[in-house]
Amino acid sequence: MDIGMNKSGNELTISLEGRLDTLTSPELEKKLDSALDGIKKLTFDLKGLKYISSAGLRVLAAAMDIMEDRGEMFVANANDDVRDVFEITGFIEDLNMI
Amino acid sequence: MKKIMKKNKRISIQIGSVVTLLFFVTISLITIVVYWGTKDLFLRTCNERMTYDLQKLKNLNMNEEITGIVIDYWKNNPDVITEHSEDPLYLEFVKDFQKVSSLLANITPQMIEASSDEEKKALFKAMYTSIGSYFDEERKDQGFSRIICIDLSDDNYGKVLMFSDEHSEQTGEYAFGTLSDVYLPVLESSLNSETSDEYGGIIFSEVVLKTANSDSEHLYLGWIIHDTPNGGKYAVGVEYDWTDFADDLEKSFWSISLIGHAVVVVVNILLVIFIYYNVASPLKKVNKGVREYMEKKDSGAALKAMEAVRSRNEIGRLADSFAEMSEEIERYTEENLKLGNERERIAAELSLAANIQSSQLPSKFPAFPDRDEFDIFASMTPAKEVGGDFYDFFMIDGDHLGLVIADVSGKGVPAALFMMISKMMIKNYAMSGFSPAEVLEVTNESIYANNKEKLFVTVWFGILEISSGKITAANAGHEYPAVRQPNGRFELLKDKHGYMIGLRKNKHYTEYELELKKGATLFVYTDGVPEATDKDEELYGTDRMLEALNKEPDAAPEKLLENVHIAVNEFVGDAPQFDDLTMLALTIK
Repeated sequence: MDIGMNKSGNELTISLEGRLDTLTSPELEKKLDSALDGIKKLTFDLKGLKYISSAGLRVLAAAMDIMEDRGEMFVANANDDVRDVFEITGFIEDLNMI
Repeated sequence: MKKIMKKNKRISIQIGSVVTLLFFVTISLITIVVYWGTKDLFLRTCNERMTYDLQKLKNLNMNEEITGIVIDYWKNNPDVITEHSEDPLYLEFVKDFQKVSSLLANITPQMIEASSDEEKKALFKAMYTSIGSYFDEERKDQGFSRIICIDLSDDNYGKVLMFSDEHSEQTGEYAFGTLSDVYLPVLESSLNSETSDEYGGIIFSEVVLKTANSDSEHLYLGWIIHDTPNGGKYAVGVEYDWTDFADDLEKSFWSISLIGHAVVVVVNILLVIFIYYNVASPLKKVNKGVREYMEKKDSGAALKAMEAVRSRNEIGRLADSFAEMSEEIERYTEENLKLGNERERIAAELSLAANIQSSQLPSKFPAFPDRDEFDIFASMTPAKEVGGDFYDFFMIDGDHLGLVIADVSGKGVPAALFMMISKMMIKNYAMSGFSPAEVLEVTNESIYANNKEKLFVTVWFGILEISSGKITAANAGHEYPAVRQPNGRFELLKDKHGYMIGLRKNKHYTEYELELKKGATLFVYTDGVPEATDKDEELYGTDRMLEALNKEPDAAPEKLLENVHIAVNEFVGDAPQFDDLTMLALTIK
């Protein structure tokens, strides 16, 4: 999976390409550890994301928790499959989809 | 150690032997070449002198015309030549040598014809004597050891006509016979070999004669062949005795050779010693260090041992390399051990988790042999890595059966523990009489309260009223169930989804009713089925799953699960199984 980080001021856009599953989510988790310092707006651009598993959801949920105190989190450009997963799991209730 | 030492010695000796041999050969060759060269050069210097002299002696100091005649007379009158004579005419001739010389130069055949027999006799004898003296003079002047004239005419072949040597002069005797025996063969063999044009047809021979007391005489001869006008033929030879020089030469070269070889031996001993200290001994030290390291695996000791090798050459570098290598090996071994331990620990954890997981799920089938109102079957096929899928079913009371299918996020021991907790909670709350939605709500609250790891679980929970076939169910973020009514086909039931359990508090769930007539089947599963991936990263999907179910829609639950399982495996092919395959099917009979 390719992770792209695009920071401008206190806004960060993270683009994900490929699969976010058990094997690849630790990588994203590690990057998020330090990347969210001082960020007020976090956006996940999922245009290239083909698949997300429960492990991936977990990382997104963790990011959401961190951003809850600091600012906002958005999820953009999810494809149909990924959107389905958000819907089935009910995660979509809490996500800011754009 | 003995084997090593033998090998060490061999290096010094191997090199030493080869070098010694080479030196010996080289010195011997040089000695021989120089010896022959010197000898050849020496003899060559005689050639010119001999040639000049032989040209002079060719005519025996007589003019061309009469040589043949004179020689003929000598041949035919050997006693005249050898007998003692008191003839006054002869004596007069001999006394006045000058007269005879000019006579020899100027006399004509006619004059000889004109002389009387007495005159001829005196003349020819005097001629013989004077030529003999002439030979003597020449011999002494030039330092030759012998001058000899051999007749090569057919009628007197091989006879010595005249000669001069030290011996003859002193004793006045003419040992014709023995000289012929010695010199004729020499001349003959020289005649057979090539003549040298360089010296105008002069033939040279090298001869070594053994004397009576076994000494060797080294003789060098030059011959000139001359034809007389009257058909005769003779050879004149001059001989140079170079025995003294030959002996000296031999002696010097033997001593040079001996000294040379002795020096070689000394040099080689030094070479062997040098090799020993610079090659063999350091190598021995290195080898010892290596063997000790192999035994004790102590890289510190190896390092010290290699430092003792102080050679500033390839061997020293070898020692350094080995020291480094031993340290590397130690580092590598340590790391390997660590990794090994790690791996073992992880493997143990995983197998523990797998055991926990599988032991929790009801696996005895048929599950309720005494109840013939329904048939239930479930299976969980774990992926390579232990996951958190689970199913559960239990009798809540005589008419109510609880059904659970759930998927815990994450893998490994944490997921397995989380699974256990979730499963227990759901069952507990269900047995306490809560409705499906209530069960999910209280489970969510309980888990949320204790969820530092932020794991979550998706759950579909239903309660079957056995007498009516009605299922009341609620869905917390889990996959849509598949339902087949009797004589129908499996279809996805798009039920209302609540939020996954454990992440957020105060979540509400909506329950719904589903009626299963006799012969209807409910099929629930986790995302391992639709998200099974082949090697092109394509997902199996719910459509294919429904297809597999609908292959034999009225099959018993066990068969249904088998069909789906086989279809998924076929689809996935060689790609590794990524997620647990967990399924549960219930048929109302």
